[in-house]
Amino acid sequence: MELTTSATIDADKDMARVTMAGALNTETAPGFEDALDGVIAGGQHLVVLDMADLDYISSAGLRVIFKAAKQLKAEGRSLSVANRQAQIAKVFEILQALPDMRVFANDRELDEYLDAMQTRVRGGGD
Amino acid sequence: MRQSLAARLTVPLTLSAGLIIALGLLVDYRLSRAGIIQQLEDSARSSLANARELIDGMAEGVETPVRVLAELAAQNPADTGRLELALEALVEGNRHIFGAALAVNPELVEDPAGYAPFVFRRGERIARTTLAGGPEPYWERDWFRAAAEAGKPLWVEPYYDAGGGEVLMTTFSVPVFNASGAERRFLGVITADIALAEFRRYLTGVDLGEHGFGFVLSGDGAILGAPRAELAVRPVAAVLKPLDGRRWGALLGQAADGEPVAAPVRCPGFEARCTVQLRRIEPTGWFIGAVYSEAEVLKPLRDYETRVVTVGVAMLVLIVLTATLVTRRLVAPIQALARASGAIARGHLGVELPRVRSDDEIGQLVRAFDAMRRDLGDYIDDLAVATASRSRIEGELAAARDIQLSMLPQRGSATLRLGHIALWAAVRPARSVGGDLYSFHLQGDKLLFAVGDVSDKGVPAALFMARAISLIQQWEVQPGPVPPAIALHQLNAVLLEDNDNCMFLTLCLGVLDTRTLDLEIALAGHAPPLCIDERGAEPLALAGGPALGLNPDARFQGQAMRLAPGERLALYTDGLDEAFNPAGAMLGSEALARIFAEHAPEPPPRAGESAIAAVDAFADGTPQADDMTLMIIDARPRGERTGIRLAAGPGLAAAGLGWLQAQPLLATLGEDCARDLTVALEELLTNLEKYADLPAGCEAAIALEVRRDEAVLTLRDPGRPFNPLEEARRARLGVPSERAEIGGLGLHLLSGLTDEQHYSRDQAENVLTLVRYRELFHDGHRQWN
Repeated sequence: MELTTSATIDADKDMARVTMAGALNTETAPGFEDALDGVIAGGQHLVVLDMADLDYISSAGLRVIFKAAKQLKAEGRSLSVANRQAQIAKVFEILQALPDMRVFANDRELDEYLDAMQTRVRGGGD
Repeated sequence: MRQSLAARLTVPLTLSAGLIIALGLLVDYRLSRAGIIQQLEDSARSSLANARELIDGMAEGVETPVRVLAELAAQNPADTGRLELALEALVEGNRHIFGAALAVNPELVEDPAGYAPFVFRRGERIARTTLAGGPEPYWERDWFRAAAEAGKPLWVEPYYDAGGGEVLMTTFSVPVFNASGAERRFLGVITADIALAEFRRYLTGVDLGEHGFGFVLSGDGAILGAPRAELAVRPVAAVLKPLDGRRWGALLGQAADGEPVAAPVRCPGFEARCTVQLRRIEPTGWFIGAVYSEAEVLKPLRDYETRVVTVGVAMLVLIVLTATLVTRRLVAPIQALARASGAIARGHLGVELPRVRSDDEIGQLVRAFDAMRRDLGDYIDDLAVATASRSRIEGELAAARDIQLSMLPQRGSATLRLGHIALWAAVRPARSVGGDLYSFHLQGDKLLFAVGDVSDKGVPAALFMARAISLIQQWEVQPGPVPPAIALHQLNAVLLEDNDNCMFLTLCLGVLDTRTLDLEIALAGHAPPLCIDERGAEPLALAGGPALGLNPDARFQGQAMRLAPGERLALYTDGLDEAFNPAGAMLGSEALARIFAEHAPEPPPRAGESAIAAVDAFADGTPQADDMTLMIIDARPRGERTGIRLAAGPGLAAAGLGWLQAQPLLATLGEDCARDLTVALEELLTNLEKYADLPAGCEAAIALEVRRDEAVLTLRDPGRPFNPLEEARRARLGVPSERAEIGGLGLHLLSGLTDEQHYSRDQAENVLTLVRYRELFHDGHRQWN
């Protein structure tokens, strides 16, 4: 099983969106780790893992996500996940991952969050 | 502010006593005041009346002899010698009279100076002189002229008798007319003088206060007499000024008409208001009067008032003092008691109580309180001791429970999976510790198992159970294994020793060959196990022996049988079938069998938990009366199997996963179950690849067996003994990102995705068995978002 990822940068929203499809397992985790590191290096405040097409995840994949979340948090940035399928959500639940990680059930929730953040930032800038 | 008992006693007592005293004094004062005033008035009136009478008497004592003498003279005008003697006798005989004179009408005398002999007192003696030939002719004098003009006796206004007695005096003059002959002829005047000093004598006795005094006025208002000599002869108007605007003339006129007169005046000699009383004295035409200050007259009354008030206040003060002292004395122990009870309420039981010697209610109260305090102290001490010993016992019991559970395989709740054999067992004591036991042990292919129940429950049962289970576990490791019936015989013999308390043990022992499913089983006073399959639950037909520990001659009979795949044994103690409901009904073995039959399709742990839950539902809150133990042993039916052996080394995980996902059998499990097993296998294989360090050339075996209620994934590897379920690292979960551990997640995922995880070491291989129940029984059978 393969994992394909693609990253889109939304500079306006200061966000990087990583779309994941396939399986994030022992085999694909190292490649994903590299890809994610690349995205994180882009410096966007928010990194969103879009898991709409992610069918499978194992602890090796979770390890990469934990590591990225930890790194981003240390830099004052944050990692979020969106559009998890039920089986993916179940694995997150079993591992109680992570209490401070924002989870968006769908794109609409994500957009609302981003809008709210932008309003706050603009409000703060005035 | 809180009012003290002392204040609540003292204030009303004092107030009421004060009120009573005040009332008493007021009544007394009212009565006494009237009396005092009456007395004062009487005294003043009577002293005035007395003075008046005396003055009256004096005047009369003067008038009468003078009149007689005048009569005498009228009859014998020529006998002057005798008249002079009579004058002398008059003066001599009447001590009021200062002097007396016989003044002849000068027209009747040849001597131009006239003839007027005068007899008067000079010291103690009687002196004689003549008034004729003085600087002023005597007939010009008032006492002569007025009497001559009036033609009748009269008292003349006071005057200074110059050339006569040389004193202030008033004179009674009687004109003498000839008694014989037709023509009435004025012969002369006979007089008697009273020295004004004489009046003083009568007036000094009048008591009218310090400044008040009595006085006598002449008809014209001149002061004839007053206690103070300097007032004599002065017109009264100059001494006493009326304050109501009336004039003395009017007052005197009024008094002359016989009316008693009273008027306010300024006090003589000091600025105050005084009263003057005036009354005419008959027949002289004088007035007797009194002037006094009411305030002074009423001074005794004022004194009395002061005395009353002083005495009242003094009594009140005494009463307050007495009431306070008495109340304090009475209340002091109560106050002390109140303080002490407050202290006791705060927990200071050692506080000192007031000392009371009396045997009254307060004394009884204090003594009763003391007794109560003592009892309370004792009670608290007892309670502390009881509590301490109770908590000690509870602590010991908790420790005992731990120790007892640790005697049981997997600490009182066990699962085992071995080839086709699945075992589940649990014990639930009715109290902290109990007499139930279970045990199992694998000896080669043989599974030795036991379920037992010591008579009674609680600590005695637990101690006997400890002895029993160690003996049973000795049997389990005895090579052979020793057949159950013989084991029972041996156990009976050992338990009989020194069993003075006649404790006993019911026991079911069995030996199951895990390959052939041959079963040998024996009972000692225990309920026969239930044999359950899809048709129902039936107790095994076994000839049992008696309970262990009682009968030295007991015989036990073992029975051999063979379990069929798909059959299930349920071994239980009487805590289950003898459970009671609130109505007092017992569950019974048949109902218990129905419960097991009902849950037959469930995997052993689910079936066991369901059965105990059903018993609890029947008991419906009735406290568990007896220990409960349940052991379920399944001969699992043969499922569909597939397996592979893979060479150790890099790529093992990928190869294993590839194989699994390619299995059509996996696809039959449904998407969720298949994925969970895939993830679980990935975790196991990754672990194996990374850490097991398998020697080159060896193989790992993966097998999947699927039954209608479960899928079983088995991984065997020939590596060094390693139980990842207990030895591998597990990350701490539920922590925020910054503290999250990277790694150590696999095991969590394994136990979250599968329902049972077993490790065993078999034929120099590590055997890991994962059981994933089918969706109906799967633990994670809930909605994930």
